[in-house]
Amino acid sequence: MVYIRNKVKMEDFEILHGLGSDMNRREVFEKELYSKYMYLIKEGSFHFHLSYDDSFSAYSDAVLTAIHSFQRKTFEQRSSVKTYLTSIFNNKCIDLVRKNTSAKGKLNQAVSTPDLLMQMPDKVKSVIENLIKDQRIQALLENLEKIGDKCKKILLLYQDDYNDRDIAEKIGYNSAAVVKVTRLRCLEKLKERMKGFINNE
Amino acid sequence: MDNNLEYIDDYFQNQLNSQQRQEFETRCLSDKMFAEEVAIYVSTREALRQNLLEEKKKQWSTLLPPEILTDEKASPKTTTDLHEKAPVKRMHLRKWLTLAAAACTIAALFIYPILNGDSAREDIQEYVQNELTISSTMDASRDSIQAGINAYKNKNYQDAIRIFGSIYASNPADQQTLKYLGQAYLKNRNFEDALKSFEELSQRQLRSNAGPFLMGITLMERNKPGDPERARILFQKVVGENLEGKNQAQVWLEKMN
Repeated sequence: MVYIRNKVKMEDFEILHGLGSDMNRREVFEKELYSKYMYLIKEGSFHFHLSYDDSFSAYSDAVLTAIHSFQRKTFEQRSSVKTYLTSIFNNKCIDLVRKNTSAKGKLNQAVSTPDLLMQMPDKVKSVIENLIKDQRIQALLENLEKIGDKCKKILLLYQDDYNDRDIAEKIGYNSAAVVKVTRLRCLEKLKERMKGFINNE
Repeated sequence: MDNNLEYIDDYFQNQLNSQQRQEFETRCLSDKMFAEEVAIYVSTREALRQNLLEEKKKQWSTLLPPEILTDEKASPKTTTDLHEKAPVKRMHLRKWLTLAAAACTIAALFIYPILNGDSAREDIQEYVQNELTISSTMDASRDSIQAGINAYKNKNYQDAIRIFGSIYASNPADQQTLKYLGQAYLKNRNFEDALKSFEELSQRQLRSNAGPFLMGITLMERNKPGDPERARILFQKVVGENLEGKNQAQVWLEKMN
């Protein structure tokens, strides 16, 4: 692996630029990035003794994480895209290995740390992490199917790092402010549906 | 609408200033009900992320070429044609002895450097076993890196890799963590990953770069064909450019030469 420090290859540059600026062609750039490094799937399967499916999951998860960091411009380009993506992928594989080898059937088994918590200081992160339970996330996934297609679409676009203005354009809302209000109402709806589940925990 | 929900959403969207963020974080520690609401929000976002990931996997699975999908080993070829056995020729004893002597000499020429190289290799194995340590950080605020160091010291190298890898992924400028990550890979015998980390480290502009030295060690540990020679070149570079590990590299070079 030889590369010139701080110089990003042309293809990587195009992908980074496209993901960061061209909302309409985002899917194209996502697929470019995905295709370019998907040899890692087979490597991960061999190296970490994972099934192909698990390695494919880890790689897809890594690509999604990388895409979001490119869009938020938190990737500073001090390493190559390949190094960055490989590092995330290895961590995802290790998480899966740990998950697969931990005792099955444990109640309230802790989930791997949600990416969202990484922006919190360690002490606060531990407090919140201890309150998160796998069963709750499973229940949320089920309830997501019940809050209506429009709510689900807005929330998923939001999760995919489209900002309120982009979502307004995609869905046909008048303004970003309307999207924000709608989005928060959808989150509220989901939370309401979870009340019964949480009370019974 | 629940005002807390918007407040929590703004925090994770980086819409709050630094003072507001501190207040939010303090409240998480002191107000259990509020912490519970934050946990529900994070759980919701995590569920959304998992759902989104499933959708992306469906889209991206169509990009996979057949050769990545298959994990078949090459089917053994069956030989249907039997080669005719060549007739055995008788050899004169003198000729046989001459050939045997020549073979022994050639074998000795190959084995001798290997034996000497093995002595260097044993030294390096001992070095990896006993000397490749990580000191505790003096900076108490870096809890996460200390967790990685503790895992490393307790020989939980998988955990150390996960922790260091995660810290490095969010801050690729941190060459110290990169070095620790490489060491954890090496201790865990993930030689390819160790080499990638140390090669990355070697590219950094540092006054005294440990990358080449650690790459040399990794190659000697991996010991694939060609590795000892590559390690020798790296140790020569370490000595020649006065890099970190120079004295030790000098000792090993003498044994390898």
